[in-house]
Amino acid sequence: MMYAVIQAVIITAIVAFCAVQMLRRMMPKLSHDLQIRGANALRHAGMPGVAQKLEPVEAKDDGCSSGCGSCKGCALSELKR
Amino acid sequence: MPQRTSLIDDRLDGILLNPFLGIPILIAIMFVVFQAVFTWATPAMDFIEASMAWLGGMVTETLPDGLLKSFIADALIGGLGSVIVFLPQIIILFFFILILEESGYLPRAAFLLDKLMSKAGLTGRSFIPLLSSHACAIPGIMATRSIHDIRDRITTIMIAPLMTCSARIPVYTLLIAAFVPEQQVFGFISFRGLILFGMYIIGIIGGLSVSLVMSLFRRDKSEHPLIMELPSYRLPHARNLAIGLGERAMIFMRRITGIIFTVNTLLWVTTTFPGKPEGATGPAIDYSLAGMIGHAIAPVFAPIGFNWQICVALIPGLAAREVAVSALGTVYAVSGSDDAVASQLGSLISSQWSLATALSLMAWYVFAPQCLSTLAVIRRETNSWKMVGVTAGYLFALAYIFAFLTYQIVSRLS
Repeated sequence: MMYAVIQAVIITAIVAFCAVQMLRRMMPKLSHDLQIRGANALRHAGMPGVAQKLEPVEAKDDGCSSGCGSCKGCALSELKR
Repeated sequence: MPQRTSLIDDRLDGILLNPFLGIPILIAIMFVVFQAVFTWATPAMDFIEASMAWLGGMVTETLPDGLLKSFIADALIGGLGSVIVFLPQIIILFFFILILEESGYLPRAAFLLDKLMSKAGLTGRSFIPLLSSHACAIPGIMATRSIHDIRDRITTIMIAPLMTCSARIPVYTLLIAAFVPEQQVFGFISFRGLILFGMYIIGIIGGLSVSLVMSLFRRDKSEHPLIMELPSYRLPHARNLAIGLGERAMIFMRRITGIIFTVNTLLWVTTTFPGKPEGATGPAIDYSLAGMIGHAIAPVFAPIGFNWQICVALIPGLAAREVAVSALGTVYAVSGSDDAVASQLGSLISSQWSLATALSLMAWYVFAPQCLSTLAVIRRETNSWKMVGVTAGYLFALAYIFAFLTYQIVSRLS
């Protein structure tokens, strides 16, 4: 019985982690919004420390490696015309 | 540049860039690379495979029955183990690519191919992005930023996914090892290596053909000459090679512990739940979510010879191509009664699939955009969803048509 509970907890934790990773990868905007909403809810619930940890980290630099997409081929905008 | 170096460069260029010898030498070099990928990697791959089988056996014997045992045996060892086995081949392939890059031969290959590429509506500038796409289409598509002409850049972006990226290697080598007998042609050429070389050639021909068709519909028929400075030849530095290989191995391992682990875990959930109802007689996977999805979409892929297990593997395979191999490992491990089956995926599929199905799947993988990250980077680089739609649409259409033709022709012949 104890073993069944332990393995269920381990599996649930791994699956939840993978689901979050997948959400972040496939739906980054939704994941970002959910993180902000979750952080706000936690702050209202009186847990500012946890809320701060949940809040998404904003990219600070705007180089090509930052993932901000500042060099996302603006020159190609004429394709849209 | 010292006079001696210049003299050596001129002499080597006289041979390697010779109008008659240049292209055959390039083909011979690439041929040797793919032969080595198959023949040199075998001992290391056998060792990893044996280690995975031993690990699977140990887990099966040690752990009591339950979810944790199923997860470790089916998703981790069965799924990830079936991909990690291809690490030696990827390292050998990049060993040669790095040597060619370090020695200064690659820009010369671009020069050699400029004429051929211009006939297909491209320029020599497209060579480096297309060569990078053989590692992964994403850096290849990003490398098209060096192409100033928008028309050439768009064409290169659209055909970059057709180049055989390293993520396809696990799929190809799994199928080649399962269906192609291990024999020598002319006593020294590995037949399997020859087929792998052929898959790369098919990808290149496919890309050039698409580019040629695109050039026929262009209004602007002007040509853009390639102007480039060729670097001096030099001996590759062992340290640089070691760093480059280490980086490639790390990237592959990071994919296994990152996206492949994530997708495989979620796939294992869908192949395990909901469980087999009481009194049910079929295998448990038939009643699972993945089994239901696989059976539901199987009719669409039946004309190209894909069974429901392949259909299940194609869906997570959209996250990354090599995930399809680990997904097949998981699906067959969950559906099989013997846990050791996962470590011998090749022999399992060779006994359950027809040759026509295997060749059809290979044809599918030559063309299908089984990589969402590639489509995302096309969106980022072109700033256009229309380009993403056109690229994904034509690639899926080509994949289905060629897989259909392959399956139907081979089925009738065999």
